[in-house]
Amino acid sequence: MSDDEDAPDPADGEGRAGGPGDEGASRASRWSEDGAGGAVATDTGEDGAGGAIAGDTGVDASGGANPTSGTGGSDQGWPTSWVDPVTGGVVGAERTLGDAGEADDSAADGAVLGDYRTEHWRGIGAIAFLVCGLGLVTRQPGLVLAGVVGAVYAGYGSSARPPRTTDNAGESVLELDRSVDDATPAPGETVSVALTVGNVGPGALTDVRVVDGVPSGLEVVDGSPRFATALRPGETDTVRYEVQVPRGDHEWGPARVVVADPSGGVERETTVSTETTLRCVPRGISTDVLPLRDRTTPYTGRIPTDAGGDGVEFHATREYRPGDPLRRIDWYRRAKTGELGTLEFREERAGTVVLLVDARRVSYLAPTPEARHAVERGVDAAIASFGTLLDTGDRAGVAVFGRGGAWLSPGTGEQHRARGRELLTTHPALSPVPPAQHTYEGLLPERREQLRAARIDRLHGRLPDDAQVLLFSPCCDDYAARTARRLDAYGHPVTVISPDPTTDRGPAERLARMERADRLAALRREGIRILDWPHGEPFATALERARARWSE
Amino acid sequence: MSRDAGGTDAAVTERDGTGPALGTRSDADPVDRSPTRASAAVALVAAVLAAGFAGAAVEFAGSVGSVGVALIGYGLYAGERKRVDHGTVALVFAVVVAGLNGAGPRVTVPAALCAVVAWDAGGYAITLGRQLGREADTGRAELAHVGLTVGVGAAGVLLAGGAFLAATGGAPTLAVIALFSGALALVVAVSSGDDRDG
Repeated sequence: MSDDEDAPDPADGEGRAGGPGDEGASRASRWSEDGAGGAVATDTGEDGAGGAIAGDTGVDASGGANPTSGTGGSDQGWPTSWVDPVTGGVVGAERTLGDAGEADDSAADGAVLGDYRTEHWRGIGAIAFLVCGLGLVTRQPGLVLAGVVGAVYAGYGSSARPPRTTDNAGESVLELDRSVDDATPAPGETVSVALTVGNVGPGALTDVRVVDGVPSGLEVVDGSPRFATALRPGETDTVRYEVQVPRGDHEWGPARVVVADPSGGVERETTVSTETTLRCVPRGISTDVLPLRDRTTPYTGRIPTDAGGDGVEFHATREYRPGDPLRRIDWYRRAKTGELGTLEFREERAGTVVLLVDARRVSYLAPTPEARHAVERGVDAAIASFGTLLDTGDRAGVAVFGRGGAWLSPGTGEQHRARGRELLTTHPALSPVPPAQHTYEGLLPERREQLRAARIDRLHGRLPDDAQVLLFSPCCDDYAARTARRLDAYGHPVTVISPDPTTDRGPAERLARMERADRLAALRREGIRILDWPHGEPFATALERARARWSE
Repeated sequence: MSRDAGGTDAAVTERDGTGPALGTRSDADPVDRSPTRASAAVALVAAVLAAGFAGAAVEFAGSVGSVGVALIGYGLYAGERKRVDHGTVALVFAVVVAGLNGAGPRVTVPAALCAVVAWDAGGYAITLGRQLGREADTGRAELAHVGLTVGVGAAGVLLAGGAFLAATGGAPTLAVIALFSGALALVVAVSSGDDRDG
């Protein structure tokens, strides 16, 4: 506090001219987490200019809902500003304290991101003066003394200086420690997080407010990652909360910290970070053998073919040719007719399968806001299928539609298995958080159509000739169906595995459900296999049901 | 993608706020932004005390004060800082009414103290609620903040009480000097406050 004695210069009028107000606005949008599906994704337009004449921002929470409208209450209230003595930059009084998820990673711990006057005591001096003066004029000692009480508070409020967040050596006076009870949970598991904040500086901090940088995608299910505390030198305080973890790598961002002076008149914002990463990989892959369509590779595998050769199931007999293995000679025929014949069995060959995951923005659909969305379910099923296919000797590859897309050529082997798991688990195109915008958003409709068609053709170009496709898509728009049809027409048998995200709660939802059912029925009529996977049912169960139908 | 299908998607995701789109999660603030409980309770108790002190001396001051209590209560319920400010002005007005009707410092000083504490704690509850949410664990910070405010107030009361005792102790000149030096301190405080109001 003491080194800021040379009070900040007032930047008169700046605030009202809108400059710092805009600054506040851009902050609001920069820090607001787009975090659709995020754990605690919000900013709130904080009514910084408090006090007697503050604007009434009410319950304005627009900052978080939409980053582009994140101006919060900057056109309300009285944005004031000063030149920050430490950073030299003009900062607005308007500000937000949202989530740390996207806070600037490069800022050093304890570095001042901004100082804000809260106007917490605004007006107290004037009121004290009035009361005191009234008391003097009317010769009422009671009023004069009441005014003196107010004057004391006015002095208290005006003594506010930004608290120091770094010591003389520039080290942060706040230390953060985060521990999780399980660093490698399974998807959907709950992990308990303990966040400890310690004051390692020389002075007491009476008002430390912390918002932990919970990674977007994690949902806080118990407790709150936000807390406020008071810390004497050397003291620590801990808060606990629980998060539900979806698949993928999740890294905590720096925690955003606001340290206020004892009177609450000035707040200094900073960040403190400590590295914590959760790696959430599905375990216990438990699908049954996937039924594949009869398109095979030359490699031995499990798909029965119409070619005779090695195998288990009887196929035909033929004349003996020199070189046929002895154990395949038809001894019955030899005994009966004296001729040598050779038994042929149905050859079983391996398939080449490309798992195509539809992770476009329109596919991030769920029946309720809390439920697992179709992309997440599709990816889970794809991960399970990938492992199963490799187990059964098939060659498996991965393709992704959405964001930049992703591609892994079909292959086999342990290394390939690891690569595929890695891609399906952590590739950004398959993030549990929906993309901020559509893949081809902002382009002309014709161009968009072109690009969409080209995307299918590009995939076709990459697919090996003998490949078949497992398409994981909710099929809630026509493009998914078109993809299936096109690839099927190109000669790649397609099986659609479609997690159903629809509900029948309202008329619009019912309409969407009917459209989807029609779409799937049309695909079925065209000979494309459909696995309609209802919400809330395990993939294995849906698969079992579908297999019974397919084998009829 | 055909336009129709796109339209249906929009219907699914947008017509109903709780529709099956994951994106709708971000539309609702999952954090309860209402004022924090502890400070709000302190603010309400302090407001009632302020109104009580004023009302005990002068009945009309009591009714003015109860208006202030109601405004502060509503402000804390709705999270509106402005209402808390208005309520505090009403409480101060109650103190003034009491003082003008001859209530002594034994009434006005504690009433003024309580009014300021109510204002401070109410504003703090709203600020913390906005920044961190009601569910956040904020007890220690609230205790420290309110404790310091009350402490500073108590020191102020001692100062004012000392001056008053000196004045009524039979030395009117001293009292006048004390009062005017207090007024001077006040002017300094106010002007330095204005300085930074920019």
